[in-house]
Amino acid sequence: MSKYPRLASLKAISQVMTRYYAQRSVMARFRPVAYVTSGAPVEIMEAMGILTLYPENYGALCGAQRAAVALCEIAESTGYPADLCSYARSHLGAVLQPKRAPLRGLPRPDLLVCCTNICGTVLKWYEALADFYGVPLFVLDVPFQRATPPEPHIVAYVADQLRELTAWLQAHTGRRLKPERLQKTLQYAREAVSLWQEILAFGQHRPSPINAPDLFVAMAPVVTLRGTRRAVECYRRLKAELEARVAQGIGAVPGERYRLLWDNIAIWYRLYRFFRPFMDAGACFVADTYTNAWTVALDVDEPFTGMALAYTGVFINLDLATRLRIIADLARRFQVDGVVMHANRSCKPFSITQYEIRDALREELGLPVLIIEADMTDARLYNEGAVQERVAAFLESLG
Amino acid sequence: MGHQRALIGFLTACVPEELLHAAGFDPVFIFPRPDECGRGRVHLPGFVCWIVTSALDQALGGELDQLAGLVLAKTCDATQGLADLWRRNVPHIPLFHFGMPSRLDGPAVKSYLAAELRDLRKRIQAHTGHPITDDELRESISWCNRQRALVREAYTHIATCSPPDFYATLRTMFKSRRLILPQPSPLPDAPRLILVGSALGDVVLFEILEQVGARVVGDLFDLGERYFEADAAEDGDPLEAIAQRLCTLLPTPTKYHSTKSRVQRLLELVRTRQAAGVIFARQKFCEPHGFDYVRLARALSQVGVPHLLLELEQTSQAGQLRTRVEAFMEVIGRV
Amino acid sequence: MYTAGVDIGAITAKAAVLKDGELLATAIIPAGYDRAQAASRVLDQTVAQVGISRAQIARLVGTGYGRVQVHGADRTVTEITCHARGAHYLCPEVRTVIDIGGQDSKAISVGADGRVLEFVMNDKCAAGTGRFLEVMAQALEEDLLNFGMLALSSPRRATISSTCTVFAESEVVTLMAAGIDKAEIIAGIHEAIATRLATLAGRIPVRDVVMLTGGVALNAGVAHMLGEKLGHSIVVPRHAQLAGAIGAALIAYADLTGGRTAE
Repeated sequence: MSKYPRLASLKAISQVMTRYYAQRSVMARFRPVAYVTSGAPVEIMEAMGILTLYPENYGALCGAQRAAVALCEIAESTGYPADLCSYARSHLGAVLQPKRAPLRGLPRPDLLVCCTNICGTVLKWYEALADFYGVPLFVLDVPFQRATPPEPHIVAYVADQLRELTAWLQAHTGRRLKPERLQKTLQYAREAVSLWQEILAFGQHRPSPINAPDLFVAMAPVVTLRGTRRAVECYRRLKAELEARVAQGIGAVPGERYRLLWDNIAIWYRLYRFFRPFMDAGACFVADTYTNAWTVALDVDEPFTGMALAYTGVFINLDLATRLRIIADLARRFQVDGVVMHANRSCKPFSITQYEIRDALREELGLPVLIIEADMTDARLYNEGAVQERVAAFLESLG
Repeated sequence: MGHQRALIGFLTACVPEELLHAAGFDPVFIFPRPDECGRGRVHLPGFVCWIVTSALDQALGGELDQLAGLVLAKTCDATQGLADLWRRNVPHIPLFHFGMPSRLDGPAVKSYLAAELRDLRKRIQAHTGHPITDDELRESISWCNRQRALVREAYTHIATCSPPDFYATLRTMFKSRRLILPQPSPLPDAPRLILVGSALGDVVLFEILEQVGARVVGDLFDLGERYFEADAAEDGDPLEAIAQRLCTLLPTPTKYHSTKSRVQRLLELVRTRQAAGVIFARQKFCEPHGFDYVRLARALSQVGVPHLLLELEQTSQAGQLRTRVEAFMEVIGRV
Repeated sequence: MYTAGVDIGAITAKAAVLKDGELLATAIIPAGYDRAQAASRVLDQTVAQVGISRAQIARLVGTGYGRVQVHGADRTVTEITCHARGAHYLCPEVRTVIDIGGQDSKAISVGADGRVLEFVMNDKCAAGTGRFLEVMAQALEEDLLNFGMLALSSPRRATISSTCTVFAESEVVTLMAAGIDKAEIIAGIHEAIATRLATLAGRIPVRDVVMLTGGVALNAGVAHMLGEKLGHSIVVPRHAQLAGAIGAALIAYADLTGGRTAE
């Protein structure tokens, strides 16, 4: 790895995340703990001083630490079919046998908040957690956004539930949501998201100062610390470092020859290793659809309607035609030469329409597309030999 | 109405059939076919259940051209993906998406559901070019209620029918809106089973149950007993009545109700029907039923009720299924 | 009174003859293509050992994958029930049976009287069955008979992560090309199958005494590593491959004597 320049900010972000988990462990004794889904309106809970934890992020951590397979086996032994989402299987394995899990598992939740805007699996996963822990569950039901902008009755439904959620949180924690605290939290969230968008935009430079695996490491704060000052600080620092790189003409991949687009969730147990052959061939992943998913635009003035719009319009909740427009736009703006799509067994929303997206990118933009069949956390589904062959052939075809 | 009604297809177990009927259609469920799904597989990855893959495959093969449309309610991620793929690849069969809420109770649900039904009504009206009046809706509610009553009556005889016959009757009902009761075929000492899952189209399963001499005494199929258990009110606002009914049914695994429990219902069914065991007929790759299986099986194990998991797919080997079912019969036959 | 059981698997045909419920003789032959014929031959061989004729068999029960092809069987019972019953005969304290056949594997929770309480099966996937070991032994040009001992001879175990036999085979080939010690690779292969079996077995309550049956039970490497993963010591009876046939013959005996029956 040493021939590729390392971003110091990434190390800082990793440290922030290590501290995040350590601190949560301690603070869980004094503050109410809520497990939340990655697409949940965390700003409400953050503003109320409720400690939030993300089982999905924990699943990714288990994948990155190569601990997921053992945890999946534990879950499967209990009866969970092996074809279910591997984030859920890993986390449930950790819940069942925390001693065998990274960090010895997460602190027990007092509450569960499940937002359905990312997939249907979370509903069942959180239902299982409610059974296991015997704690209250709030389901924030976000309908599919089949038209942009979404129909008013959908926005009203989500906004109503946000108010319901607030009352529910107040009732269960005894804490109140103060409007000025919510404003402050939303402002921080807006700023973090805005900085994140700027960071992603750096990929448009030639050479790009940033590569997709860097973004997979860097995304943790905008997912898990959105609404905090800490996330804003992380991204100001990263942005400055990227500005400096651009000023000096430093690319994440020296001698950048090919600019590629990545689709779907990361392969966590091959976080950098997967990209090594690409980097060696001068290929940099300048854009991706996964980190772009955290670009919710939050309206500070109309908090509940604003959050309703933002959380209904998350990338993965949009219809295919809209997602295709976004991806095609990314490909054009970032001037990509090819696309690599991770056919992620675990995530139907991200993977089920991949062939359509592939065909559209090939036909409309003339881009070569490689599909890699694997899984985001379950390393048993990763066939090293097959992947290497396909990657090599793809790189050769880029010419 | 004497004229031939057009057919509108549907998948998922929470479409507002009354609304479709009032629009002049007969709603028919698209059952999977055991033929090779080559066309479907071009568009869908392999980790999708065969119900969804086969529906797309049949559409692409021109086998569903008689349908005036396809209605999909929000339920699982696979059908949500199908909606997207259908719009792009089957443009000649218009897709109507019904944003059924994932919650069945809670203060915000009723008004959202009513608004979504009004929205669906507008979209269908725009497509057919004629309005759907409240009176027509009430007539259709009445018609659907009568059909449901017939099915409920049929279910009182389920234990005396051979499983293939009974479920063929149900499938015919979903395909042609006609109920033709099967001939009774009682087997007084047959082991009594409850079935759980989404397997109405898995014909091979019912044949095996018949071969091993079992009788089904109740089910928790998404399109089974629970689908017909409640009627919509025939007075008052018809769309509200339809909404109310959809929220009253026992939830399928994709829906959340804060108090209505599938676990409780299953235990109750086992008890009241004196079932000897439960067979879970789960489609491979089905996330909702996959998770749900664990909660239900755990509850059964806690009270000592034997259960068996069958994972079904298009290429299910009858011999393998048969061995499992036979072994299960041998287990429950002990008592 | 003589009773007999014939177990027609995918790879082998087995038979057992009992007298008054006591085991007298067994035989095992390849199943071949003509299973009906194999059933007949293996039964003939067994009765010949006892020195009686087929006509003297009071009742015959057929089991296994090809059970419907056991001509003359008075009835058929699944191999799940028969393995449990046979294992119980071989060791009355048995409470968990893990049967690892050529093409499938099962885990059975057994009651004090040898009856099946619960079971889980894997018959869709070669990993976790004898086929997995066969494919790997071929890839490594090793004899299956030595495979288990070679596995145990290595202090280290290579990591083979794929659940799929085809993918795992290509992993093994890659490891060989990388010059990894053969015994280490073989140990890794055994670790992989033991993990698969442990996950399968985990779906039922695993209680002592745990017994392995089926052809793969005779592989000491699998037995040892599976025991490690389950945290239970494993019993492998001499008649490990014959548990199904023995159980079938016992059920035949119980049918006649009004003892516990399978149904």
